[in-house]
Amino acid sequence: MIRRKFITDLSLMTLAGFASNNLLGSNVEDYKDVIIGHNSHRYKVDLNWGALDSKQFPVNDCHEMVQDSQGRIVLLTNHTQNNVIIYDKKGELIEVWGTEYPGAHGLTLNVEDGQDILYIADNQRHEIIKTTIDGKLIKKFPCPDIKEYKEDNQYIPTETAIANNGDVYVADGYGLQHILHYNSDGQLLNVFGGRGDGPEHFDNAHGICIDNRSGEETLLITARTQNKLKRFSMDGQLINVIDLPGAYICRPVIHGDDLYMATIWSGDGKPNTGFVSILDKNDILISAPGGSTPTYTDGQLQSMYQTMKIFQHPHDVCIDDDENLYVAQWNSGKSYPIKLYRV
Amino acid sequence: MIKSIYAITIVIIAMTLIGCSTKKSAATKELNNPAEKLKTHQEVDIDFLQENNVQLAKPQLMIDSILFKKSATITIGLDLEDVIIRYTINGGTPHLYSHPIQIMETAVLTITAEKSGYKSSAISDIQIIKVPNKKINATVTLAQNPSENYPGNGAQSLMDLEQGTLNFKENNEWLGFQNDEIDVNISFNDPTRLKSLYCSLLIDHGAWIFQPKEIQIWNKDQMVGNKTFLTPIKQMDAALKIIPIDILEGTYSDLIVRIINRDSIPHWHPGAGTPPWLFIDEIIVTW
Repeated sequence: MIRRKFITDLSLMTLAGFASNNLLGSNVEDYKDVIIGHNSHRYKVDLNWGALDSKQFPVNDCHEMVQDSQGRIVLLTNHTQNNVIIYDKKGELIEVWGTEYPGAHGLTLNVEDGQDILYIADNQRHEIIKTTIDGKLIKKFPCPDIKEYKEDNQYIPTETAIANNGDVYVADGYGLQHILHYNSDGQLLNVFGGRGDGPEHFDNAHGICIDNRSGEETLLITARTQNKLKRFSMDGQLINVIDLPGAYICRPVIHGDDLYMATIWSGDGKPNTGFVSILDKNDILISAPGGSTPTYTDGQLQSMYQTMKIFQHPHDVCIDDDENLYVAQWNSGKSYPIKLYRV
Repeated sequence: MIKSIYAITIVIIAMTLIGCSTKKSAATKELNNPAEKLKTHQEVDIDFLQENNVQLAKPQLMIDSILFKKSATITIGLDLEDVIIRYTINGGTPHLYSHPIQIMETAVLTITAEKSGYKSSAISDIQIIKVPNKKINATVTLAQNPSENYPGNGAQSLMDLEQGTLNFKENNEWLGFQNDEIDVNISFNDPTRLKSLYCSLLIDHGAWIFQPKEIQIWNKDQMVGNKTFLTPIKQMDAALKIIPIDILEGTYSDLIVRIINRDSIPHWHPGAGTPPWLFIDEIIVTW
């Protein structure tokens, strides 16, 4: 929290007239920056971050974002002119690559032998593509050869998660709702989840991540249409279900002790009602930038909804090493990501 | 928009104190080198989003039933500090909302949220309808079948008064059509005195579902009521619309509700030129 302390000091200095060069401008009183979020996680909003010439570097849906080991922000879009757009944290363009991912949807970064490796879930190619950070193909994970999948196009993967031992978990979030567990060689070890009415089943198993905050790895998987987050053991046994009524959560992202999730719709699922959900390590919703104040009554979260028209359809969040957030949006007028600065 | 300056990397406070921090350095190329990063003072001009550029979301409405027999209770809320919610009933004087509203008669409510320094919310409106104590006995038939994918619960369910939920995404009550014209034939078991009728429609442009061009009410060879609709303008939010239609006051044994669909989706929509969907879940007749 050094950064925030510094900023506080900076403001005080300016108010006290220490900064002769008038660092914060002439009239601090004029500032009415919107601040969104609750409790410890509050943010200012930069809608212009990462905006590029849309003819030269277009986006369709901005589906997912990760930060790489060099501190760069990597965006995945389903525009085949440049499926991957790499920015610095200020939003300046560093490089683009990728023209072969029409259904570019899920983006996971894993460090393997000291190298940043990307796993792209392409829901039009019906496969996972493993690449180097600069886009060289390493391996493909095609539609699994099991009886449940009669045709390749039944397999519509949305996300991957990579365990410490290199095992790869794939969520077939727009397909048959299975969670597929492979070893790092691509050998299928287990299949669980799937459609159904049981708590271990999914409706839109959209995102998956590995949670090792407790010291032991577990899987967190979103059941987006059900407004639930489901925790499984690494061998596919359901551990518990976290209810988030009114929150259509896309992918769980762990940063430090907290869990962040873009929430594409809220309430009864009307368009343009998204916000961001932030849960602490006890699975309690502590902040909802753009949404209503998380309120628990008798241990039950009250139904969440959007309160300000800032986000349309948040689809993923990336948290950088400054604790700032980047929000990639689906179907939001081909707009570039929004950056939230933690205050 | 006011420019603000926001320092985003670790810096040595002493550097700031002596005022050497206003220089804007492009630190991109040095990001690879942690040592360089420490020395670099990155500073960015950011146009932070200002309050006066932000619109409040529409308030949340909770209604025990939009079709009611004695009274309906409406609770309104928007979870923001110092928010003010105003509402009107049938376009009358605006009231400040402070506690749940009880409605005894058929009414249209319009609701907005305001907060100092922010743009007010868009207007929410909702039609709440008092229905007869007794269910009207009538046989309902359709001249055209709904789409196989959206059969709802059949023609008879159009007058069961069981529907009208706002949570249309979570039920399958809707009958969906792509026909040019939809005729709903209503035969009352007993001749029934009527002066108005309501059609409950779903409007969801994102799902290619639009309001029709016209709704006509026929009794034998006479048109006893109608309502026409303008070319729809772009509407971001999906909505349940209850369309009131006045009909010639009288006692009727048979009515035909003729829904004339739009020829094609308007030019501003990705589906421009193709036939729109029409979704209906209820026809309500009242005195």
